Amino acid sequence: MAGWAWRGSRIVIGVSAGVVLVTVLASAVFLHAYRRVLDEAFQEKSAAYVLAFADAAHAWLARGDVEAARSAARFLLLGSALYVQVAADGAVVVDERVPSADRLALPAPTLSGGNRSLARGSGEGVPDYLDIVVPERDGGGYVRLGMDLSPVVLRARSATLTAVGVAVAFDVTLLAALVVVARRRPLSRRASGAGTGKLAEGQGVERGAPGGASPLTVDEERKEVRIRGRLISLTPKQYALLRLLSSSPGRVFSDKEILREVWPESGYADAKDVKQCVYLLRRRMGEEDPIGTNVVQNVPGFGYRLVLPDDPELTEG
Amino acid sequence: MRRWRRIVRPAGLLIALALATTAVAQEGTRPGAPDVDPPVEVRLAAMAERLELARTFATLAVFSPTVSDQHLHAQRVVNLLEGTGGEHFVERFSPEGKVVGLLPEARAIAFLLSRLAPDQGGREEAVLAAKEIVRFLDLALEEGLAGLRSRRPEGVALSMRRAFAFLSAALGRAEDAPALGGVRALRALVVSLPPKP
Repeated sequence: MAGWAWRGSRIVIGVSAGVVLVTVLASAVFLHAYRRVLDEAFQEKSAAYVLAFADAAHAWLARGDVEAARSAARFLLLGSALYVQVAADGAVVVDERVPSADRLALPAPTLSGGNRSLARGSGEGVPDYLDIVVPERDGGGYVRLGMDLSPVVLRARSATLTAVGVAVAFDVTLLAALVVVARRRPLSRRASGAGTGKLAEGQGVERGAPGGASPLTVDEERKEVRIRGRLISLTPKQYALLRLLSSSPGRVFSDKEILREVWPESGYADAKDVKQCVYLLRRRMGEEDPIGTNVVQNVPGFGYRLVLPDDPELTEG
Repeated sequence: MRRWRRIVRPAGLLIALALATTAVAQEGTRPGAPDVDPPVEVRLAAMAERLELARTFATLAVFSPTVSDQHLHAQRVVNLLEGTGGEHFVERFSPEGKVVGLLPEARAIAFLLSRLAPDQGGREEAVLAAKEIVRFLDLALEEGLAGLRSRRPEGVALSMRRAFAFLSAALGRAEDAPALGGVRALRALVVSLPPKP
């Protein structure tokens, strides 16, 4: 019994560790992928945003309305933009920044082939940002925006918390289910008769062929019960009840547990049937051996337990 | 009796003056109502400029990378449409200060055009065009507000695309038929109106 319990515990611990490892790995992979998707979406949208602003800015500059471009640039700073630069004919004509980006060094961009450029940047006192430069289609100008990456970081962080929460809930549920299964399994194994007689060894009940030194013998192959060597003839229900109680001597089995194991197929059996069966079992055992009457004891409010014939608690009645 | 008339007459005049002053003051404080009345074609030209600006911000709202940026630009569009004193106007997002709302301005122009002499050539067409502009701007405002209410980036983008479309329809092209409801076409019509007979 102890050996099986230890083996069972080791299995539960092993499976638990595996489950935790798998969920941690899965969460890490998911978050990495999600962060990448967020980054890419943010980059794509930001590039389109800068492009839209660049079109308007170049139109304002083309008609000489620098103030309109400057006003719009200032307005963008109310959102995610950390700085906005608009250059025309090689000269920066609009340079608006949030106070924290005032001292940010922004070297002149190198635009190859008239393509837009994207780069990550960071600075002292400035959150990580995405530097996007869109060149003027026909001319030496460009529009440059620094987009604050904090929203992406915040979304990734909230996704991390959600993923960790889901993973923990999953782990707890799975482990709880495992523990429940592990606790029920030995009982089922014994009840199904898969035991070899070693399950209750060392606890005073011998299961298997008779002839051992134990005062109570349950022979599962022959369906025989002997008390101090004397054979007791039992009905199938009485036998099943005794076999269940003897699977863990001293342990209190509730009515519910007994009903589940002894009357598995009946939905109508109740505590009265258990009481009746216990009464008949006691009487039958008492007929063969006086101490047999007290082998099955009632624990008021909880259920029944088996007290072994050689237990000092047991007195001949 | 004379004495009574002496008292009643100045009192009546005073009451009439007070009522007239109140009416003028109310007209002046109506949300987004212009203080001065330049010629209609000048007002239409100014409207066209503000409509272009509103379209720019509607586009920026569509392409903004975050919902807060989208709402920022959507609010600017709503500000331009309603003008200072409008129900949904937020001063913080109006860097130009006091704004003459596109909608109140369009309504005022429609009212002015409806008061042209009935036998004035092109009057009915102009009134029809002005009313169409008001309808397009109403729809643009509705979409702008829907964009502000939405919390999903896709929802805001969709509303602001619609707002952009209605703003574009309200702007139109100078060569369009005025009945289509474009500010530019209406301006071209107003400029070409024959002088009063």
